[in-house]
Amino acid sequence: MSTVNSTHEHQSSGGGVPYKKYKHAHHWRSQSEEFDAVKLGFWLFLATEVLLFGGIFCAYAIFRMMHPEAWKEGSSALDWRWGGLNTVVLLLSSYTMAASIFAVQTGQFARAKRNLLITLFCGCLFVAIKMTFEYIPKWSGFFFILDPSLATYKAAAVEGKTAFMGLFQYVEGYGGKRPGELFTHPFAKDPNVPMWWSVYYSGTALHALHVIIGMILIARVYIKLGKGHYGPTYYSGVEIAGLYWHLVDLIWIFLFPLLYLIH
Amino acid sequence: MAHAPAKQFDELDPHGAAGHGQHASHVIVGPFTLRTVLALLLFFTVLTVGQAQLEVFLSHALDIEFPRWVNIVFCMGIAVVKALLVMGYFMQLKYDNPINSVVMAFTFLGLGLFLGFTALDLGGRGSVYEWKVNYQVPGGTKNTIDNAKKDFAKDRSIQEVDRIRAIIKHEHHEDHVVTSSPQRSRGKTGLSGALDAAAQDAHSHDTHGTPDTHDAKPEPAATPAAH
Repeated sequence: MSTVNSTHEHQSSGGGVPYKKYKHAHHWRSQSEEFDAVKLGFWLFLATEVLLFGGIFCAYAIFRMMHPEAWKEGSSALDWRWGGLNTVVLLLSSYTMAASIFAVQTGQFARAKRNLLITLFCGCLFVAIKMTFEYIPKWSGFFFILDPSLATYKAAAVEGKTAFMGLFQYVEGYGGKRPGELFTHPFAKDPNVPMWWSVYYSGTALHALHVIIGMILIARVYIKLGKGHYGPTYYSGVEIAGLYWHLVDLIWIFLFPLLYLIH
Repeated sequence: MAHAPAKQFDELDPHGAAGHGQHASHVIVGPFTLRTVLALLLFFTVLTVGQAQLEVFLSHALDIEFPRWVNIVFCMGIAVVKALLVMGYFMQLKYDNPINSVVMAFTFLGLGLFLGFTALDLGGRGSVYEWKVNYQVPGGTKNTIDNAKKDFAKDRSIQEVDRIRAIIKHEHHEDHVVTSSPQRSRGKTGLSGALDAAAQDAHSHDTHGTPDTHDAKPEPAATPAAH
């Protein structure tokens, strides 16, 4: 192990990938203190994120209290199976993120990169499932042709009306479930149902935005890991990206039962 | 020489210039713990979905209706347990400096204040505007805000407003009619105008033009002193 104090000095690790020796910022007494401060700072930021989504949960609670029939109708339009699948995907991605942190801590860089890639893939899968099987059909009425629920709407499917190179099939009378003023679903039973859709879209879309931001952070960590910035003595960046990703998972853990399961 | 794990830094060499490689004394959460927590999380997911579907199934097949709070308490309870597992083990709050846990605890307390005060506000709406009481009942009224105001106007048989309306009609004033009383320092504008329009509809008055809801029309005196 090298003992020369230089930011450009490379050390080799058990994983075979050389990583740079980290020199903490000079206003900290030790790297340990810097790491604690970084973590505390990020937890404070996560607190603000919790309050951000708290606003949406508050809106959910208020409007659910005021329009319970609309809430019942709205949540019955959601399929718990897609929500459940998304939950499993995010839980798995949380595990792989924590596993990649463990791998960096123990110098297993190939394993760390593999786990980060799996986390990224799970994030993409989450957004893809949400868009393809939930947002696009509800907004426009166009079902993905491999969507299992398309079979139940075979009778209402308009023959020949497809989109995006025939990958999406139009179903009459399904679409139009949009927030607020944009609501055009013809079979709404309760006049306050657009409010449900507003809460649904604002909650899940804000969450999906956070998933995308999390993926950008993880991609950045992946690239830096490849360049040798992180190692067993310095892995703050990986931890921070991990914290953000776990928060995204945490929010979905609350969103899923509220929107999909509570009837 | 063993590196004491509790030591934050070496007093003689705080910046590590001698390059002893101060390893962070942070706990490494091993794969067994992570996998156990993942298994628990997946189990609780299955449990929460199963409970919701079981409730639906029982209500349809066997006509057993559970009280609404059962579903909510169960789902939210499991969600809280899952959240604690993620925060404790994946986010490593259990192994961290307790200040981080305190920060999160106070955040959730703040969230509780947020929701709590909002609930208090909603619950006490009727104390300020009487017509909002009926609009804010558990179970909902399936009513719109305008209809709620009209119903209130109808119920209270607004008289004072008619009297003032008659004065206004004779003077052909449509805009900026300021009416004052000991209870008010200025005429009411905005939403209160809708109440007046509601009173007008209720008593089927003929007006010179379309009722302008932005007029300064007085709200029916609902204060105790006026009754």
